[in-house]
Amino acid sequence: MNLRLHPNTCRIALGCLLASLHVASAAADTAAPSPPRMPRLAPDYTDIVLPPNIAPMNFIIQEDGARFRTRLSGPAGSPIDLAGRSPRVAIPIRPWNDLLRANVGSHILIEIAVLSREGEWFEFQAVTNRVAPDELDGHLVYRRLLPLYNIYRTMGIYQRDLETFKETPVLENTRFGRGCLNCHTFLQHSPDHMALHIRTQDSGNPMLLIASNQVATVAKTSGYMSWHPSGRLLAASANKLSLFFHTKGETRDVFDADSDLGIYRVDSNTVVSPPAIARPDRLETWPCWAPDGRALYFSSAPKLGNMDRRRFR
Amino acid sequence: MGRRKQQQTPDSATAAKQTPPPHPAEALASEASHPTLPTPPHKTSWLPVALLFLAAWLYIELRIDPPLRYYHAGPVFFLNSDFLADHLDRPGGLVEYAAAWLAQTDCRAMLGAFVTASLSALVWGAAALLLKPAGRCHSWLPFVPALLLLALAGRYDAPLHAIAFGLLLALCGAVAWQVWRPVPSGLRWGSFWLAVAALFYVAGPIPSLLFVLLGTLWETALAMKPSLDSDSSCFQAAQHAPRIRNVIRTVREKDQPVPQTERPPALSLPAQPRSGRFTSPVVCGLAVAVIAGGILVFPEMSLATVFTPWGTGLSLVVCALLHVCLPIALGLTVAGIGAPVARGTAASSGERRRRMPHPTRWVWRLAGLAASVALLAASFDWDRKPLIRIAWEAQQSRWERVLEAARSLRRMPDPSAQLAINQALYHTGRLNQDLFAFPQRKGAPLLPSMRQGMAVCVPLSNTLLELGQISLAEHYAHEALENIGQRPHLLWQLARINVLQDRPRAARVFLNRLRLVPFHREKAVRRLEALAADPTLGSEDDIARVRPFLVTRDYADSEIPTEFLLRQLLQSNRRNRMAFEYLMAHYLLNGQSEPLLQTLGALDQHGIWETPRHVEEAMIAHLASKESNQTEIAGRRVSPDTIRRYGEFLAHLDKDSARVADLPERLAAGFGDTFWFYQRFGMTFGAIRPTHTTGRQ
Repeated sequence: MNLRLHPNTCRIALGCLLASLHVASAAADTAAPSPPRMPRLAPDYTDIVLPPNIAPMNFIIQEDGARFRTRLSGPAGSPIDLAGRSPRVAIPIRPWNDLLRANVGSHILIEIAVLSREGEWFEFQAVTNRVAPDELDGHLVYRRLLPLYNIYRTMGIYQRDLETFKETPVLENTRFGRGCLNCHTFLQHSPDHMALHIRTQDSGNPMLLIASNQVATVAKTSGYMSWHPSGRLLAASANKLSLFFHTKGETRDVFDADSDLGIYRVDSNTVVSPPAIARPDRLETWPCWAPDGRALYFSSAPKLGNMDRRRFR
Repeated sequence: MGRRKQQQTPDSATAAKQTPPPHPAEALASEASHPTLPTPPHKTSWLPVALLFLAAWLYIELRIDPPLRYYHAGPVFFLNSDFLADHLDRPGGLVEYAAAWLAQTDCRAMLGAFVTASLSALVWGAAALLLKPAGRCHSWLPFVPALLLLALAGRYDAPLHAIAFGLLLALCGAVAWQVWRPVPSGLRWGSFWLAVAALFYVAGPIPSLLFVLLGTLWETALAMKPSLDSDSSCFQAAQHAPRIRNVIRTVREKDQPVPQTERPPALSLPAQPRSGRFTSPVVCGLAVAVIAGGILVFPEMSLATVFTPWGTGLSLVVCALLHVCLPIALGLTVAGIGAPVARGTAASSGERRRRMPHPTRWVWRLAGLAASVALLAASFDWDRKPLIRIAWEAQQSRWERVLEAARSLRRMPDPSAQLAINQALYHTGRLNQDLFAFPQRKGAPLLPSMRQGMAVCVPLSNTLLELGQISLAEHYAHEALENIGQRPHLLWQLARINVLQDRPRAARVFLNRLRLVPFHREKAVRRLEALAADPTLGSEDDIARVRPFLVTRDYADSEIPTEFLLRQLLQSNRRNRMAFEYLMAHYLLNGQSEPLLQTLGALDQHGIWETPRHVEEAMIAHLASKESNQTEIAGRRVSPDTIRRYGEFLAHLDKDSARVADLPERLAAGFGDTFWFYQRFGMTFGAIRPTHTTGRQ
């Protein structure tokens, strides 16, 4: 097929081609670098509020790179500069504490740069985290255990110093024949008064009452507990719990066949269960005293048969 | 000992033969006042040593099979600082750490065998060094602890590496104590107590106690026989070495007795007052107080925690022997009890050997070897090995090998082995073909629960995962994790389960843990990379194979019956062939002919064109019970061979019905692998004759 173009057509086409090339080159010259984005961090410590006495919030930079540079700084105090081949950012504890305390009520910046495999540094948008004006409680108490089902070997109640990474055991089950322990509660967040429930093979299921470093064993079985603000009463549930399993989704589930509430009087070492909180036809559980101690809140539900658990997830 | 290996000329040897042996007390006194000429140690012949090492290596690799130890009782080990830190806060933690690290080599048969053989050889060498300066002893005596270590290796559940390490440290400490003994008594006692404290921290109470015992024995021996000191002091030996060499060379060249005047001057030991003789042993013995103090400092340490790793029964006995044999050997050697008969006071052991007739020498050697082999055979755990092998091969998905190991069973397998055998039968296409060719017991469920023991958790989780009961598989995997610790196969299993549960982040947790285990890093990293590329791992065979069969409906209970689980799987996916075959096997094991025969119609749907042998056996038994002449049910005809065998079975049953006592034994020979035998006697151990086997249809 012969294709014959008019000379003017060729001229116009050439002009258009040149013009388009010119526009393209101009666009290339004027294209601004893409704006920096936020870095991907794990855990995602972006836009959070930091207590001024919290331990270093270490993280991993989830960006691909050959080298990593991190700078933590604030309006006051000395910045912390960290660099290395690893994306793991482990912040030294003392400079971190100094930086936080210097910026109480203000903010700190986390500036991250990553050296790409091609040898170019890429700077991410700075992460800004506020520093709270008030300090956090110094310790957290918790039960630590593996993802358990039926059997367990080691578990314990531990306290963690939130200003460092130090963890110390409060009570480990290796001390009483690898029994079970949990259900610990403090009187108004005070470490002086604490109740803890344990289950043992040989010594029953007592409650431990800790008051000013004195431990008393109370031969009363209790489950979920709540201290009265006065410290003289302890509301507790007595449950009849059993574990069962699902064939789909989350496997573990617990069935509460019977549950009543009782009030333990610390002074007289007695338990009372008024009908209002221990009805035979209902399950009363999860007690919680009102902050002023005038009311006791709890959950109440109709009692179900053993086979009814198959109906629930 | 070197002192006694004195060169003798034939004349002097003859004279020595004629001279009656001196009274032990006189000999001791004579030795104490006139130390004789030290001679260079007897030149060790390396060939027998190398051969024995090779034999031990081969024995461990081929008979014990280190991967079985690794799978069954290998300690957990992670290559990170946290794991090390966990071992630093208790006595014996460092040895435990080192032993756990070495035990990882058991993952590879040859390497693990080499490490264990090397540990045994080191214990042998250290025992020889310990006994050498104590006096003359039989050459086999240092071999005893090494032999006991090999015996312990054959018990499978004992912490071999930790015990060997502790023993070695105690021995090395004792040998070092023999060599390095500072003269100021204060420094000597201080250093001994410090060594005990250090050993207590590094190796725990037992090795430190052994060290104290050996040290005290040695000090007692020195108090009784001060001449021993002259032998043990290295610096003294070194001081005289050139001169001794010259003397020996001269004697050899001239073939003449060593002139008394050319002997080195007697080593002048400071005379010890009688009252102070037992000061050192007593002070060394008091080092037990250091250990007792250490035990008080660490309240979690108790007799139970110290001795629990030794196990029970024969393992406990071997461990105890291992720790008491060395003090006994040292005591006997020092006392000269049971020492080889000296043919003259100056006869060297080499010379005595040369004098012994060649055949007699070999008879003794062969007898010793036979005794060692007998000890190893007697202490070997013959019953446990096939059970561990079944579990290990099932874990590796080597199904034919599982069945091979099952054939070597000597007793009824436990439910965990039973699970693995049944799984292997399914994978080789023989579940309902050869189910009764392997041990089965009526009443034992096809899918057991923890009521049958915690050991079922791992194989049960494997089976449930393959069947598609993913949540229950997770349940049992976690029970096993709590019970036996973070074993590599459990971490891998939990990673797979979490992928199938669509929880890739949780899967990463387990894989990241697995990455810290030696020899498993590469596998974990590969899977982590695959997980990063595709969170569903759709291209991984072990995941993709299971995913279509995952259960789709929920059911909740504390214990779910086997039949219900299998039917639920078939309701989720009716093409789940494993669930179908397991359901048939469940009916066979329970002798439920009616529901079994109702499944016949579904055989075609699963591509099972030939009726499985046991199903045919159930069919003919069912028809016979109905007094029917038919041989066909639901379009499935019983094969003539099965009909013939059933006739034979009934005939034998009629013929031998009078002799009820040994009826099962007699019928087992020909019919032990049949449904009829199992149904009649409630159990079977398979047939003695070869079974009828066919491949997967």
